[in-house]
Amino acid sequence: MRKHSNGIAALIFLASCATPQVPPAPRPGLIAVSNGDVPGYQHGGTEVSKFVTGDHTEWIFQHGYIRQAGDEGTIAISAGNGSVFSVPNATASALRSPAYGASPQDHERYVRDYFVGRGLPASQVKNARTMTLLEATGRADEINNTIPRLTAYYSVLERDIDGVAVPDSFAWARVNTDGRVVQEGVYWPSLPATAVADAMKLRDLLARPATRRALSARLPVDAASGVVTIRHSSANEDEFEVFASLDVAVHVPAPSTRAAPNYRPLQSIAGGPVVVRHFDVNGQERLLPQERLNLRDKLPATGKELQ
Amino acid sequence: MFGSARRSILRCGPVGLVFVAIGLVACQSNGLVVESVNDYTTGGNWGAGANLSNSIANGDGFIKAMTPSDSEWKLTYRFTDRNVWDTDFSQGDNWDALYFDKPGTAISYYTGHGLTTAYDEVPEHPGCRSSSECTKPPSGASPPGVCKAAGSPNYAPGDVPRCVYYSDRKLAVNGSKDQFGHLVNYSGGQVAWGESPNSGSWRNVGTNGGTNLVVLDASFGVLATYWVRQTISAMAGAHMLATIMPVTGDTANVADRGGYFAGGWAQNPDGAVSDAWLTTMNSIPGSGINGGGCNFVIAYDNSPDRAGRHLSESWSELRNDGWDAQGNQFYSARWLCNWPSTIRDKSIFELQ
Repeated sequence: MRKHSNGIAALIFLASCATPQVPPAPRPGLIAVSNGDVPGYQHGGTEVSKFVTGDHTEWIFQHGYIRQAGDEGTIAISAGNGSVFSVPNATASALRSPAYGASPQDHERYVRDYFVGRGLPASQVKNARTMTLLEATGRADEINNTIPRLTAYYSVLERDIDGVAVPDSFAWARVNTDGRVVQEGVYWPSLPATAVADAMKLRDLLARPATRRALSARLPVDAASGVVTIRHSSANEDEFEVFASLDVAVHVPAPSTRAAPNYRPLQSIAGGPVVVRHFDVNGQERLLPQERLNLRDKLPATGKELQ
Repeated sequence: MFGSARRSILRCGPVGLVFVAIGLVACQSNGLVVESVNDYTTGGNWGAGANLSNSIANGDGFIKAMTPSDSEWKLTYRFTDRNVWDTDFSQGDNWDALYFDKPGTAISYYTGHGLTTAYDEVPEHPGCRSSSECTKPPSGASPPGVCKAAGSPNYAPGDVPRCVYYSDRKLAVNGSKDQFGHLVNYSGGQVAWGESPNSGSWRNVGTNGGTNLVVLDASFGVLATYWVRQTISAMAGAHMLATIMPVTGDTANVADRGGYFAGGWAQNPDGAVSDAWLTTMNSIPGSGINGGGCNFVIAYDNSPDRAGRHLSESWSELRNDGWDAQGNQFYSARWLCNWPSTIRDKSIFELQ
């Protein structure tokens, strides 16, 4: 009887282990377009990536990602929008190797060549910015002896179409000394010609004083520091939206006043966070899908709302 | 090999997870507590114009990415605006154990304003060349003064070196039942997060907390070079604290930091939680900081090995309450800063 029960349990267990069907990953390379649309770039798995997944690599479909996962790390391709993130395991050996090259500029060049060599359109790369990873460990009571250690660089390619920035697109990577990619993220979707045309129209409106004044008068913020961009959904979103935008960075006054009697502004820091607001060619304020997100009506009340 | 085996187990779905959970349920936390504030004007507690627009979307982006139908995480609380009370975070009367530091919590995520506090010398002292010049803290701040590095190549862009001073860091909320002037001082003893039967009571606040990771997605999370002093008293067993360290700018209130952070779990549950926070900077337009600054993670424990190990915790390990911090004698910290640098010592933040 006991043997029989174990057998049933094993069958239930095995049935639950049936591999979910893994959808095909999008074909890597240039995302070809027609009708004047702007081509994008689709990154891919180990057939194009220099990221090392390690032994026992297998395909899994989980949490919305088509994942090529191994003992060293995972290349995850969003089934919803094609964005790709290659993430090392927490103890991956690649994390212990020094950064590529003798300078941040070396790293930047390598990352640019790496993505362009795989099909990312060179003409859309405006420039690159490099981030520095530092690390420190020590006794908490000897903080003055802290010596941060430079661990790695991350270089991020910034997208630009005919002089208009596309800040939601990115291709970034961390590369170690032997040229292996330790970590990377790519979201470089194709863009409709209409968005580019609207951006050009917006730029023209702002170039002429009369039309600039007319557009500015319709905006609820000072547009003097506004920048024409093409904005699109973030790589967190499956729903794709894109529009030309006059992006205006607005400083929100940091909390102060009577609740904080010792308030004194941080002169060396532009006080208060910045919120970037988007206005289209008609002066209408627009929100990206990630900015509209509000789960209030989708989640049950969890406590205080009921009080 | 272990990672591969674990993936096979996870692929087994709910039934497979039950088998795994039987062995782990006694020491696993998988709860998420998210507190997000956009509304700073209702009630008249803060000045006009202080409203934020992206905090709720940001917190909800984190929730959405962490809780797909096949997720091993569960949302414990989602509080917004007037339901975010300063008591939620505070140790007094064990309020925090009800909400932000509720036992069973893996990640506690706050997104909203941080208070602007005294930092700069008054009048300003730009152009310093050494911290020895910084001896005049302004009202509301205290020594030691630091000549904060900035401006030239290899340093945070957008400013010049300046004398700056220590002050406690505070979150600013706008709750309907606040008890602490709408402030959460996480540097000066008002909070103690993560104390549990596994951590022990070394922080002298009992063992009734439980969060394993605290995320403070707010202005001026920590300021150079006071990261230890501004965070150490907040930690009572939590594995890590993740925040933002503006150097010459401030945190941008963006809608996608939470989603990108949670995406790190969905993309690779065996990846490091700390790296997922740090690298959100690479995917957010403009890095998510207006000016020069760093994403920052710090861990404390009773040995250098344990403190360092927290920063290498995978998402699965983050849930393991057996790794709750057992002291704060040692720290380990990581910064991902949004400028290129070749400096390999402390002078990247401070001219000594």
